[in-house]
Amino acid sequence: MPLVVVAIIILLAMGVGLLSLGFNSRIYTLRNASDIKARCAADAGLTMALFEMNEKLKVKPWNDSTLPYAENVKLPHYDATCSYKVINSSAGVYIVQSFGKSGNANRGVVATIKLQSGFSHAILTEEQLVLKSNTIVDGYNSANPKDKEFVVDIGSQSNANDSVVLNMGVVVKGDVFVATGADLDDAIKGAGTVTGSKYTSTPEPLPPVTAPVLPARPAINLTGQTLSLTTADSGSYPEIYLRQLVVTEGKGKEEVTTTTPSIIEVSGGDVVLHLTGDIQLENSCEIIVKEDASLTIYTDGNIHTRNSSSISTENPPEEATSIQIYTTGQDKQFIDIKAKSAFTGTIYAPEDDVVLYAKGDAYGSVVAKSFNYMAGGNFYFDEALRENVSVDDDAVIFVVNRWYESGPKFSADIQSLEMVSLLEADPVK
Amino acid sequence: MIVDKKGPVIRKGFTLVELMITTVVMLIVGLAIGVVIVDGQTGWNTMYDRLNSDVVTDGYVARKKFDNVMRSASRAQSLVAADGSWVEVYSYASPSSTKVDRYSRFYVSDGDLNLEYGQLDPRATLSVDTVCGNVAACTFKQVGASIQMTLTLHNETQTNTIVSSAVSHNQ
Repeated sequence: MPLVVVAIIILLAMGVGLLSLGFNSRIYTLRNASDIKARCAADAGLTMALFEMNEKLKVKPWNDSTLPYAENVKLPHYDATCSYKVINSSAGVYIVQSFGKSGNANRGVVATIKLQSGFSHAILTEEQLVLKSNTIVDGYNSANPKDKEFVVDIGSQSNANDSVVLNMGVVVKGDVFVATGADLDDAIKGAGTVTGSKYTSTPEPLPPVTAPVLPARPAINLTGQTLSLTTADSGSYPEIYLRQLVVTEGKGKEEVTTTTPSIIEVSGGDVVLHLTGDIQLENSCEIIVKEDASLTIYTDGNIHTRNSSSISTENPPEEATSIQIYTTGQDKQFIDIKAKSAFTGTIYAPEDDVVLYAKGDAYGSVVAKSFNYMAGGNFYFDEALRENVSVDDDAVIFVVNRWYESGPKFSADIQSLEMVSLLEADPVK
Repeated sequence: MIVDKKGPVIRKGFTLVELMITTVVMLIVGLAIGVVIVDGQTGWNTMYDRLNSDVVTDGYVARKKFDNVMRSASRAQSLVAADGSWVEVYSYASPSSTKVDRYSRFYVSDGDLNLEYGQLDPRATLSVDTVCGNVAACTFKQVGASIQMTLTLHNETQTNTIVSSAVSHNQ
């Protein structure tokens, strides 16, 4: 009998031990799962706040009198809630606090966000980027000529083979990147030289651009004429078609043919054109932006520039914002731009193919689905495009600048970057 | 009156057969209880090991460390070895840093998962920490915007494989 009692006691003890171990294991697992859920919820809150800020950006002019704020937002199909709040700090920086809660677990993140220009890179493509032989890619800063330390990079958001083709003699004085998942040796091809590093990068969102509402104007069809456009001529045009006038006089050996190209001169301020159709420049026709002016084109159609035609600025190089071209059409567009000498400007066509052929150098930045640089000269990125960003610019978005894990409560004290610095400064150490 | 003082015969003790049967039954019961106890103890030990052995706790530590480093890294740039044997990410030393100035590299050496931490420009190693030992295999790969670590830890008795994935958040 005592033996049986002892055995029962031992078995009971073991049973309790096993149950306890299992129970503790279960509690530990639940806590771990809740912690991960809370962390993901905090990340989701930050994403939602960022989305709301970018939605606000679409409304011009910018108004930050009310900033995104929400508490205990139930995440769909997910056992967690998030709360987020955006504040405009005393340092003029937007700070997002976001907290996730799942069960008893609470996790928080705090991030500073900043405006990112659509032209943060010298050349950015969604698919293939091809540079012709002997092109040098370098930088300059139109806003600060004394700045000689340029951060120049070109890349593709594709991870396919041959995403970036650097032909013989190409020198990129900076970095070259492709999308994550790419094999660098296969994705970046050619015998060109990269002075910086080659790396993979997370693809960036490239927001679509919407043309502003402008007064409707008749189509511009010129044959051997010169037309001057000023700010008063800003408007929505169905088409721009420039042809050269060809006049033949005499007969036989006496026959003389004279050609007069059509020219559009943009002067006297910022001219904004919305093209609902194509822009076509026949042989030798030009669009010239004078020194005191800038030209912004939103086009729903294609741009074709034939041999010896040109879209250029009068005295390049200068501010790359002198010529800005945005594609705004719903259908696939094709942008073919030529310049008789240098080309200075920006092209934003993330869904469209772009070919640039300038007899001189090209200055500015290009964002395209695919880009083929066939110019006779080099490509220089205007670093001012990256640095001078305004909420009223096109193709800008808010992105997370600095990100830290934080406590699980809104803090009214976080009003400046200095306060943010009090949070975990170096997460690795 | 004649009284028969002879009562019924009372037998004291057990027969040999009874004793043998009882002994056999006791042996069977004792063995059964012993087997149950030993089996229970073995099960408890196995379960305890599964929850608290070094490969499990090391895996937990490795996952947390990987998570912290990756989530705080710059999303602009990362390097993963072609064979997935190492990963390198970049980060800011402090909020006042204007550009990424630190690197963190996870790699395996002599059965240990190491984290090398250093400065950029000029590149110099600041520290090398051993995250965990008992590493049987470790591969890194980029999956979309995240970096994934598949770590297999093995001691003499147990194998633990963990898969951790993290997205970098910093500029």
